[in-house]
Amino acid sequence: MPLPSVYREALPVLLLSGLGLVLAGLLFQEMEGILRRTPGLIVMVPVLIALRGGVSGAMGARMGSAIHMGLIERRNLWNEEAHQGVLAAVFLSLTLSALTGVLGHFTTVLLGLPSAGLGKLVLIATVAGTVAGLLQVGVTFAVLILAFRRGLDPDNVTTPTLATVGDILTVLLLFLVALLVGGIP
Amino acid sequence: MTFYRWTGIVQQSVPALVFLVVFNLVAGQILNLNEPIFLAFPFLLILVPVINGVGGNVGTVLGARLTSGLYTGSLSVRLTDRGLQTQIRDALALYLLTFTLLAIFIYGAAVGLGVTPPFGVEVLLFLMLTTGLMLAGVLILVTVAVALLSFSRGLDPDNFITPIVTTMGDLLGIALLVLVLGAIL
Repeated sequence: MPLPSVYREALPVLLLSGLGLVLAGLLFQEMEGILRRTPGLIVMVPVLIALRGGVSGAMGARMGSAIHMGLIERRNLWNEEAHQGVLAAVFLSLTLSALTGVLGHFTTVLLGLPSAGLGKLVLIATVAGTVAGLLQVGVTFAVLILAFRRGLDPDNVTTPTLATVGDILTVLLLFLVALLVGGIP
Repeated sequence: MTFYRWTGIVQQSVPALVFLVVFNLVAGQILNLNEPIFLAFPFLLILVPVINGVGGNVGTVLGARLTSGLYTGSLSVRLTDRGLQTQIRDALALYLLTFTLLAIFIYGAAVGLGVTPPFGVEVLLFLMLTTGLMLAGVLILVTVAVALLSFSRGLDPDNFITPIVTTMGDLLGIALLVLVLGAIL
């Protein structure tokens, strides 16, 4: 009996993105020491991961639409329309990451839990979130160029790829920036 | 004058993104309140991005399939619809298959990398399948409800399902994981 298409087509994609998620989880697990030394850091992990999906996923989807509308062309991906989309994504990454740091600190204090401090949490969230956002712009264009070369519809490949890469990038940058701010033991 | 203006993109994205930050902050604080368990057994941190991500991914696949079915007329807006029941059954099977395979992979990867799991592979399977089953139940219900309600009101389900299901997946995934962990440990 042949398997229905939902298993043949959806399962491999789900498992592949699952492997990316396991990689993000393994990195998160490596953060044990810095999580211990930076109280409040753990609060920002799910927020910044979700934010990366919300900002960069939307940017990828917009680029796909722009290509379908002929606003961005294969020969000239980096035009004024693309600039506007990238500028919006970077601005949103910067401001909402900073907001995450502020809310992360105050909700932690409100719950009576220890916090590494407003300044530290805002600095870590803003730098990690913004740098991850900038790197994700590069990944988005790399995926678009690859999709064009292979004759794939960008709409089918950008969202799952960006979601998986975004999770890993966010945890990796939070880890590195927290180490830089909090000091390597 | 470009079609996209970064200020316009920012204005339209901010409300949904602030909503996403607030919801995920709740998820982050659930992690924060249970931080001692996660720091005692860093292995458990691996599960956080995996359970959240897979939860949202399967919900999104189901949502996309339901929407296409409703638009092409192969599904109808009735809970007694046979096609709808098949889609729900397939989504449930996808959840269980994905969680089972990833649980085995996580266990192997962790042991291979020298991360000590606090329990055997059978407990991890039980933990991921129990959390996954409850998460799947709620997310499938929400996806079906959002798809049927928005479609029957003449709205496009594609605009609602992804943000609602991924945000709920993040919050519920962490809440259920902590709940089941509390019962096991």
